[in-house]
Amino acid sequence: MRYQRGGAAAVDGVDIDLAPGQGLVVTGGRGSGKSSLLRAVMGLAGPGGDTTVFGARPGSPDALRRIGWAPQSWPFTYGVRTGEAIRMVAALKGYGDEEAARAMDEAGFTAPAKFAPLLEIEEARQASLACALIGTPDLLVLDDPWEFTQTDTAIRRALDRGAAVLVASSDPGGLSGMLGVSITLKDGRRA
Amino acid sequence: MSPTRSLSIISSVEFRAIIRRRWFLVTIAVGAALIVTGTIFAGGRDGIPRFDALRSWTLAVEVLGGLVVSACLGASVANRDADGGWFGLQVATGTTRAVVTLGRVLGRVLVLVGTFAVWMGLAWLSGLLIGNGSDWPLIVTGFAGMGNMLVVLTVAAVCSVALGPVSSGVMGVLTYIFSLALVNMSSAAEADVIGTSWSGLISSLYFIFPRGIVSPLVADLQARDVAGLAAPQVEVNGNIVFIQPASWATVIWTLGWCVLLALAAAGAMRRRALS
Repeated sequence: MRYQRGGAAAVDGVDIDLAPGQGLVVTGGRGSGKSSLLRAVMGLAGPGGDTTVFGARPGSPDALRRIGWAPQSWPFTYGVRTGEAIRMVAALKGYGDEEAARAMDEAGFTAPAKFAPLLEIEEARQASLACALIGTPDLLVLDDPWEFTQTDTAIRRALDRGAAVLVASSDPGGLSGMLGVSITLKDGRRA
Repeated sequence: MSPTRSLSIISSVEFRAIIRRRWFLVTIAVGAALIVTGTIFAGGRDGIPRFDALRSWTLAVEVLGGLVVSACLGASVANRDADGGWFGLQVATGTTRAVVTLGRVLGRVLVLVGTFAVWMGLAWLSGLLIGNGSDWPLIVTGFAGMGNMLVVLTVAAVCSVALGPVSSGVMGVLTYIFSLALVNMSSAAEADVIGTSWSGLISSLYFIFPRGIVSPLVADLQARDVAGLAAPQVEVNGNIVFIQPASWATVIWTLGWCVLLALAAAGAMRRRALS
């Protein structure tokens, strides 16, 4: 995989082969290319190389429908209640409000009426996780998830049902043991 | 999930998000306050000046307020949300970038229509209150203004894919000025008050680019020089130019450009990096 934005490549020569039921945690310092790697897998930033996700180019709608995506930090916009944002994700994936409520419950998110800018950082992480848990994704992609009980439970459930889990974290803590395999990036390459 | 359903979901979320934002609420409220002020001002007059006063105040709100709203709406189609993660969250659901972009544009178009509906409705009620009756020419002028502001919004939307919010908004406003200038110069060319060498160039540009939509009421107010700052009388080479109201062909042409620009924004987003 290679992802270049501007002059220098943010990620270069990173090989990932993630099978059903497997987990992988990508670690590294700030600016090491962890988030860029995940964005490339999601097709949000165009990857080079011969990357495929579920047999398709990253970012293809068919592949994305099978992925649960929890972006880093605060992925919402002004003027939207967080519950509305999560229900929007559910609706766009073809699910109803009940599924959004279930995902919020599974992620431990209890502030759906709050406007997104008013979320505490913990709540923002849980809301982001709830977006990823909608439906039964075949691949969970979690960018810098905080290690809540709910995060661990969600990852275990996903692995148990045969889904793959890809996590980027600078401080993975217990996630490394749970996911089994970890790689470390430095300056966009495997360290 | 059908594209139409996705379009509807995204546009309704965007609509709700924008109408709750402070800048939008302040702009719509200031516009309403100015129309009320214009009503009080017009109410102290009689006959034609009473009509002219309310109409020129309303026109000023629709042009100046409309420019602020449409430029801000268009400039935010990609800006901030593409880098902040919200656009990426919408795309990560498996909705194509084109549909997400069009949904975001559509939501903003609905906000623009709603804004004009509020101002036009208030102006209509004000007219009834001071004895002007149902001022249909003013309503038609509101629709014409809405068409012009759609151009601003869609140009800013295309620019927002590559430029920052301020530059995108400025590009939208400059296109509005350019489209009105084309109409003014085309009328000047028809009136033979500019050189023939310029006439050919102006005709060519007029037939290619989006044109400002001038309502019959604005053309009349401009001709009598009572439209105020929003539509001053046009003078070219020392001659007063009487602007021709837009034909239906001009309206369709300009709206066609808006559709084209929205599609261009959707196409341009295909390669835009998202967070």
